[in-house]
Amino acid sequence: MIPIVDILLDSLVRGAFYILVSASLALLFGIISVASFMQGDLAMLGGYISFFALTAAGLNPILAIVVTGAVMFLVGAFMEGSLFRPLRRISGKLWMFNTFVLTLGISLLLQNGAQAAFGSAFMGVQYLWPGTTDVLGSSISNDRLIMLFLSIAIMIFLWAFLKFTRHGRAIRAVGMNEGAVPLFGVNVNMIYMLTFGITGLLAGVGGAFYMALYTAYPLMGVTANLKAWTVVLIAGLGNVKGAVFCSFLLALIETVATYYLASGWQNVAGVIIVILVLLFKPTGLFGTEVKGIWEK
Amino acid sequence: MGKVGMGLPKQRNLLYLILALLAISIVVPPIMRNDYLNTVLITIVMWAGIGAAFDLTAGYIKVTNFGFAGFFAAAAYTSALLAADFGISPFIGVFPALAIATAFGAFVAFLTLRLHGIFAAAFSWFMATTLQYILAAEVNYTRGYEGLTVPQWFAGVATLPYYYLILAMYLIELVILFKIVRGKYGFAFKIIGEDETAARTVGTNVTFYRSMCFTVACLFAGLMGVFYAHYFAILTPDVSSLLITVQALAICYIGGRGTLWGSLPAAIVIITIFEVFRPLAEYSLIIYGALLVIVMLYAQGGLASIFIKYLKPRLMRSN
Repeated sequence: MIPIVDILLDSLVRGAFYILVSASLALLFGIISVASFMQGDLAMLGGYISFFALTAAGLNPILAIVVTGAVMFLVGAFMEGSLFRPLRRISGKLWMFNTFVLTLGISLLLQNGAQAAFGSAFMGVQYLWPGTTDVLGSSISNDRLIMLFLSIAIMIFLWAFLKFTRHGRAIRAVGMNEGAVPLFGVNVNMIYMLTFGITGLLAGVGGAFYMALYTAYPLMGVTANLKAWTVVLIAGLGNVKGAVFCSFLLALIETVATYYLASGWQNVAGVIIVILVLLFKPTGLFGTEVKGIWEK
Repeated sequence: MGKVGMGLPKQRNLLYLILALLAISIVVPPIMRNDYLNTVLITIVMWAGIGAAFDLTAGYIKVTNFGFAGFFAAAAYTSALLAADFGISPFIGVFPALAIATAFGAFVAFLTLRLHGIFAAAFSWFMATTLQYILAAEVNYTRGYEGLTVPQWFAGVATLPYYYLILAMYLIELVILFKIVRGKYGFAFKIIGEDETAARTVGTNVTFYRSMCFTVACLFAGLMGVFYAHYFAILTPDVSSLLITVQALAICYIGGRGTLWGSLPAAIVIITIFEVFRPLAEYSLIIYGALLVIVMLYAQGGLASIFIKYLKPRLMRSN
């Protein structure tokens, strides 16, 4: 018998993790052409912040997540101001190529800095919200259910922010034509900072969720990075909507692979999908919207 | 740099410098008769070779080969398994190993290099990670994380033959790479790296040149991988991990990308520092990370730029 409900629930929750980190990567890439290799490590940082907010500061779960988001927003914005802005001044056409290396350096610093500061122990909490809920005859812990809804809620907020607010429109405008927006009175530096802040927030909250269900540890960003890049390559680089859909797609494929293949091979499944996408639709499943991104 | 075309005589000093360095590197180790020195030198030359292979894509066509370790590991394991299971000498096994690394590189190039370079970077990283999973999972063939015992290049424990072997490999690599980048191909690589759209506009076959550059780099990654396998005599799936790629990338960038030889001073400085301050090795990744950030923000020319700025004009001055 095929446990359809279990598979669907598992892949929804798995996908909910992928959403936040891969959306942050897609946003950075799509708006300001940053090929970021550090989103997973920002998630790791978020995981630790939420852990300490919950345990050391004793905050309630919702407040801890809000604090994590706020701190990670500042971290992202600070990184832009202190590291990426100077790099932008000297990069010109090599901007994307350079960001890859700079984010790799930051990623190494964060991973090993966390290892030095917190040790390699796994840090986690038992649960945020106790209890389980029955969904179509299959039981799921409340934590997972709430995380799933929160992830989706955050993505809806992000969508509404980008679609309807003045700053959101300015961000999208920078993504379309960075050269023209200053003519309309948009402060491009501010938009870069805002975008970095938002992506820090997304990745950090994603890490907080991961910490709540599993644990936080210094190298958790490595896998998160790999998954985020897999999702983004399948979806089409820089496409946030596609990233959301493909997060669930990848999660579904991996969950099925976990059920039916030997362990370890679910990671290979993702790569095979990427190969197929590159062969038949190299711009990604949703890649049509972001044409012209290379010209920046 | 604009004066390079002024004729050979002005480059004579540079040539003397290179010959002197070469003579020192050949003559000094047998005189010193110091095994420890030899092992350090072997490590330095090996990393200089790895950095140069990395530099061919990073410095010329501006593709960060983020799965570098995968090509390294593919060749290393091929030659190691041939030697361990079939008793084939590494001097013969190196050729099928190079073929595998090249084929693997050509496959990634075929899939990704008609697209932007970032695809190649991300995709080869996936391939390397996948290879790592497979090497770890197929315990019957590779021994997984227990480690595969690999026959060595030479019988006995002398280190000097290894030094000359890696030196020869490094020199062959440098000569071939310089031959390539000084010619028509190198010119194409450079304009593609500078401005892809412009290169397309003047009718350059961007995909072809990029694929070629990438594949050649993979071949030399494989060569270094084969040396590594039969020198350390033990392989674990970690040779395909990011660790190797990160070190290659760091050495290439710290040395100065786009020079090919820049990795040598970088390898000398970095390996020496880690040898002198042993406890630092624990923090090597933090140091690499910090160096990468510093190099990207303040010194994109790397160590090579010091030479180009201060020493080269003096060497180039007419006698």
